[in-house]
Amino acid sequence: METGGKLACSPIIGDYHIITNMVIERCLGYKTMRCPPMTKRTLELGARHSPDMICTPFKLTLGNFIEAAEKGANVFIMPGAGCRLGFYDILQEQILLDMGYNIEMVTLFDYIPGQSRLYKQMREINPALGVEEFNEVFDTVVRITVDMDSLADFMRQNIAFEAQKGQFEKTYNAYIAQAQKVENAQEAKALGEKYTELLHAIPTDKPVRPIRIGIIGEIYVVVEPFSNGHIERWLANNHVEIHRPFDLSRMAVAVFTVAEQIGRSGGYVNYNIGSTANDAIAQAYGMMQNGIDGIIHIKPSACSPEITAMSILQNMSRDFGVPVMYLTFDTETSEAGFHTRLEAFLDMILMKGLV
Amino acid sequence: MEKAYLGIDIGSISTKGVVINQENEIIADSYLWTSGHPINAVKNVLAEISRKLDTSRYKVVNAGTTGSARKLIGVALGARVVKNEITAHAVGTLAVVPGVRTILEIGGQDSKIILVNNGVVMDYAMNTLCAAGTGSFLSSQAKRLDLELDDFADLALASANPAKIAARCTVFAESDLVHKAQMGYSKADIVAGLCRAIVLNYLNNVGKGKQIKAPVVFQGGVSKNAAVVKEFENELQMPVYVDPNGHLMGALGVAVLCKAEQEESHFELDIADINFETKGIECGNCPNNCEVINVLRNGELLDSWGNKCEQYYNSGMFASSVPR
Repeated sequence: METGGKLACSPIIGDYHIITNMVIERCLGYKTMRCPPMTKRTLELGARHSPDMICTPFKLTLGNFIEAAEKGANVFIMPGAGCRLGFYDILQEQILLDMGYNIEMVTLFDYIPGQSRLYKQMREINPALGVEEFNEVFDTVVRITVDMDSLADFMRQNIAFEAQKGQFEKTYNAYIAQAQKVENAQEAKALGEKYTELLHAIPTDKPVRPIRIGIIGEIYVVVEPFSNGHIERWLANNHVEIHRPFDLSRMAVAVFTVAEQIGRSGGYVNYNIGSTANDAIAQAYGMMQNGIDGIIHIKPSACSPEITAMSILQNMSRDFGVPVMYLTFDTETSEAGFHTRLEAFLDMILMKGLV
Repeated sequence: MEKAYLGIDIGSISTKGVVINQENEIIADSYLWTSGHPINAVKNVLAEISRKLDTSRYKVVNAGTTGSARKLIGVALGARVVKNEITAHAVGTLAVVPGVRTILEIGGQDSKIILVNNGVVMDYAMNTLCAAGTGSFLSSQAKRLDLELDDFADLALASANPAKIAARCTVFAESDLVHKAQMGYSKADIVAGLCRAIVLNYLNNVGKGKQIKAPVVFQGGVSKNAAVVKEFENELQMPVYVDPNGHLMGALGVAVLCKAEQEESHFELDIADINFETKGIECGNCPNNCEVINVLRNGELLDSWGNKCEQYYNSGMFASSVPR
């Protein structure tokens, strides 16, 4: 198969581009690159070339693609599923073509990313891809996904209390850098085990009862720090233990069906309300039962599934007495307003005197 | 000498200052327009306060700031408490009305609701995207109708048949208002309709889904409008209390928080001769182009913030000299 001149890249969604890039490199033989880091320019470019009323993740990922196209990328990888996300790829492809970039769009995971489904998809593009070859890649990326998510989870709950600032991020970033180079699932497993040990060994000075805050909401703004004004970093700087039960491994690898999610939501939702909103309800219910101090629900502007979730969360908040704060993110860059709200949220929890 | 505590609330429209004694009683206060220059406003507020304060009896030992310019003024004054306005308003109101359950607040640009139980804030919400339910909406419509804000309430209260005006959005409300005017509704009916619209907008957008329980305290600039108070009472079917000092609650709140501080600092009310300057520079090292704000006191750098990259969190805003 002719792959010459193809340079692929995935949008920046947390650190997950290392996973998608690995699939593309190893299954299709394309070269890959990382999109230029997110800046105000990414946002401005994306917003300028997007329909105004589209959700924020569309604008940011389009911004990623434009900046990558400027650097020579010509194959773009987009996940597609769920809500309006299912149409992102088609529309973004058309916008980029209209802008004069000669590109192609590959939609990974056009639904729940089952192994055989993904294999079929890769085979369509690269008929020479053998099933064993594919299985090796699949096992490797699953291993990495699960490991990076559990490392990040541990980091989130402890980074606020590290004895020496920067240790957690440094260790985690080292893992991400090396994970991109592993050859197979065994190597990935060994690397994961090594870094789990390293991360757990970082000295912390954690109080017996820190403030615990859960983050739920629309998956993109939850996972991508630029899109949520680095909310986790703000919370960590204010000594909060962060619980974020949302990540790719729990979404895609564990594959909870909508029915399962509804089953775990304590009767607060009885039918599919769309996309990750079912999951948000289930996660909020679980965290409230486990005595979380507060929950922050974040969504991009005009995200209809999460808007539906809000009124359900309101009922849950009243029943459990756990405050829920709602934040909406769009293309604004001023952080003063949302820091004010976060500060007040923490004050409120502290004043209750439970912590 | 008795100890006293200063709280300053620097809002987008007005700047408020109070000095309280050990009993949380207001012993001096000032309320002036910010006029787009918070530092000057604070200088004037402090000048008025030092005129009113019996300095032979009281000594200000701590100062705190709140409101949207809290950080800037906090740095400039060396304030010991720099607190967000939500917490400050809750603490201030609790000092005046200890049994309060619900605090409604409508200011110039923002509005919020705070739910309290047993003296503890349980939940709050603040308006997000839209200014339809705020004071600036009323004042811009008053201008359109060629009315003084002060006449607004009396006129509205005189109406027996308020016009129905869409409450959802400022732009739609405005075209609705024009439509009603062209249909021949009297000014009184239109103004009464506006007061009702602001209440409905607030309850739908800010108070949505929250259980409002009595006693209810209403504050912020719009609480001075008796017609809006009446509409709240009609809509909620419960009495709504407006404290004559309602506009000072944020300042009072930080003053109360100052009192709780362990350490005291020497505090000078007379800052008229000190030159404060803020310089905004665009960093330019990456496309983020962070706007970094430097605050100078008599030419000497006090603090800087606004930088987004890693150093921002290590050396900038969060490690700043302002205690949070």
